[in-house]
Amino acid sequence: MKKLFSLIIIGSLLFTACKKDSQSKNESAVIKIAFDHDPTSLDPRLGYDLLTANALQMIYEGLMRIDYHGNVVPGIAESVDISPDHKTYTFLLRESSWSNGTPLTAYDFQESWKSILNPSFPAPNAYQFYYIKGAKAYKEGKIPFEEVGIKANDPKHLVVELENPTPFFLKLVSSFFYLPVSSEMRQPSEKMREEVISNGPYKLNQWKRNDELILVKNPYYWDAKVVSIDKMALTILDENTSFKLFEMDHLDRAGSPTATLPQDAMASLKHQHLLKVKPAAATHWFRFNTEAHPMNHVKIRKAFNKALNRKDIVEHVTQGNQIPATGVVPPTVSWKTVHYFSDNDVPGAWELFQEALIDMNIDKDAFPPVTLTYAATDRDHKIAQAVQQQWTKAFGIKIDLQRLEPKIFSENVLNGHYQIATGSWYADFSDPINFLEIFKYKANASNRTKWENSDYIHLLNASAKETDSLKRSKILEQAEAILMDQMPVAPLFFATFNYLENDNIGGVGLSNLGILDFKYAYIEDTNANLP
Amino acid sequence: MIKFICQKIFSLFATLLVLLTLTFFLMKLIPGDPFTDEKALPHEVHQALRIHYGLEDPLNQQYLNYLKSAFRLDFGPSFQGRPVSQIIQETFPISALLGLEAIFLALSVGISLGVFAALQQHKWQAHAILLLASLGISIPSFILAVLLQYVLSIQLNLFPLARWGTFQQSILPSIALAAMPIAYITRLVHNNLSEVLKSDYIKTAHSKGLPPFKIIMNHALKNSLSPLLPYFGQLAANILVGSFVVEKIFGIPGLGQWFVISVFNRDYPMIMGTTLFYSFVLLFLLFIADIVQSFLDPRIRTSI
Repeated sequence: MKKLFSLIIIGSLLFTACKKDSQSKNESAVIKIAFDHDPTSLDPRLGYDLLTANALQMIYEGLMRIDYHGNVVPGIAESVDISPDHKTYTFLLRESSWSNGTPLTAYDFQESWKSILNPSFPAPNAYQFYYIKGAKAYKEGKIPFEEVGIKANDPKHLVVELENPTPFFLKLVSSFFYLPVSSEMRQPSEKMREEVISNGPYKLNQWKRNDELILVKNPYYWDAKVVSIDKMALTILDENTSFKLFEMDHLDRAGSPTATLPQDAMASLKHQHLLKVKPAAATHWFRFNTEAHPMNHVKIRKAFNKALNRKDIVEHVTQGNQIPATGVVPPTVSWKTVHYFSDNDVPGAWELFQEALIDMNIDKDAFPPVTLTYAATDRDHKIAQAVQQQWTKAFGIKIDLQRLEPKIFSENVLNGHYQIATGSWYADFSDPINFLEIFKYKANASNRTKWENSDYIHLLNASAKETDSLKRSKILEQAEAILMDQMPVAPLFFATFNYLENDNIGGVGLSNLGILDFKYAYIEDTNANLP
Repeated sequence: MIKFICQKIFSLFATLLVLLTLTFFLMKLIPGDPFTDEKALPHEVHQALRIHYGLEDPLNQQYLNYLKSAFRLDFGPSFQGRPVSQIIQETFPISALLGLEAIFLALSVGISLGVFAALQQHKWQAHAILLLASLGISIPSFILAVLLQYVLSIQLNLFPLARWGTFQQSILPSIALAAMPIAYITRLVHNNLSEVLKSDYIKTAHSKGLPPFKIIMNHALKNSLSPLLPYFGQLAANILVGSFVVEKIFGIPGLGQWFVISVFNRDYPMIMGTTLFYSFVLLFLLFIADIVQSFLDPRIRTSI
């Protein structure tokens, strides 16, 4: 027994010795980031979640990019010329090349976008190109590609013609949907290519599935001289494990937008001033099924909206400095913050509820129990419980909670099998239209409230043709007012990105869309922090 | 004997076919598909993707197609684009290596503790071991995993917290995986050995003056370990293909995680691939256990 003990002690000493050894070789600049799961693909045409968008933006660069301050600035395009009618964009490309050294031309962009729009290509994001003239018709197989408004005149010039003046088009071009794909990766093949050829600040060095992606500095990047990080390790970790590894200094970044933090740790992280917060272009809300009794009654919807105590939920449940939402469009996207109603207005809610009961000609006791449906995540569960209490207290009626596995939840809400459901929208591009368009048509897959309004449709159509940005803002504001008057959704809060980041690291951009930018990232004097 | 083995092999493949069929149709019954998401795709895009991946074909046709390719051992590409067989080939060795460590730990520690407890019958050491064993069976592996991380890694800094690659990194997860089997084996060995020690032939051996160590090793242990065999087949299959919880907590890129991830993602080919693979490993190991047992105990052969 004694022998065994001494063996264990010697063994453990050996292990600690090894560990110290590996810590001291810290010569190259490495940043380690927690990822929640593998990117769905490193082919920009196939990705569709925020995590994948982040991985893509690290290794690719589009014609435009979002800079540290969140502004859209030229990327691979050196400049862009916009026609007076705001319908033709001519991009002048700078001299640049792919990570294998072959030159990148305007034809690469043309062919990449063409392949996404190819009727037989399974691209989840093809609809993001429908602002371009003829793109939708080509995708549906109605016209040849020659009639689509995408044309590379020569290796340096790309001309894009739009259906309508689209004031947010450059923002769209800076998104991952519009990234170029190399000719090698465009080759139609059944198997996904293992080798990734990209054109951004970093390139893929190794992808150990479900474990780690290693990115290294791309020497062929046109602006490689400003990139000071040699290597990035994107490690796939559970939220609790990544949190512990960060605390032990084995990770430089944990939390959103590429992963999550344990909801239970939020309060103490905030207390210790470790939690970092950036506002997101995102709104969390409750959808009402406007065709099902009793939520088909607008006064009931408005009463439920008024009875919400958003401040309480933000402060005691989500705890990540989210902003109580009194509109649909988040402040980071909006022209100004409009409060369409006041938070926690229980007397107002009670009044509306009484009026609705009279309209419906029923007694309060005859009011049917209402079910709140939500996806089985830790946070949504806590939100649902808090809201259940608020509504029960305000109206004295029975609120049932229905907790569903995420995909079953999405499917049920999509098919209208719900009364009230949690939901959210994280913007694809930073413009109010991205939020308002969701509710334009009943048939929109993201609407799910069965609500449609002809005035609303008319206003959104008018905004698409308006070139004056101030006038356009006014139109969109009117649209949002209709939405909040009809209340197919009750806004809950404007989301934030909550994360932990090592203080040694600087220059990391995080846009309100949740896209990280490591182009200008740097590590401050690492030696100062060694023991 | 050959007839017995043939029968067993036939039933193995028949069971696999039944499992394949059941899994296929149950999986298609779950609402949602790989493209269902909180952020919904436009209806026509969603439909185009479903058609592209053959999800709009009639169900019986999808089933027959799958059956045909499964017979050729082609399990198709997962919805992430990579072949299912490639993912299993890459991840199974990791889970299996971790599993082997855990099995080694479970057997060596479990048997030693069981024997020790049986020999110390009615002494406090035996009671302590059996109490620990009861605890071991009732503590779920995720609690133990987090506890191990907290004490041995964060507090004492003896082992790496997570990830995979070095031997040190495999120690905590293999302890977490082995704990429950250790407890089970300890109790099993203790119970059997205590029974055997009371039997006449052991008393005879004692009265003949054989050294106690020899009696245990040569006579008692052999007979008290055979009930372990059927349990071992099941244990090995469960541990070798990996555990979702332990792999997730320790950030190990093994096969175990795919069982759960594929269901969450509705990655149909991957669900089928992992289920069939696990079933095959389980049935194969049970088959081996059967064969070995029939050699040890010929009564099993004749009874079928």
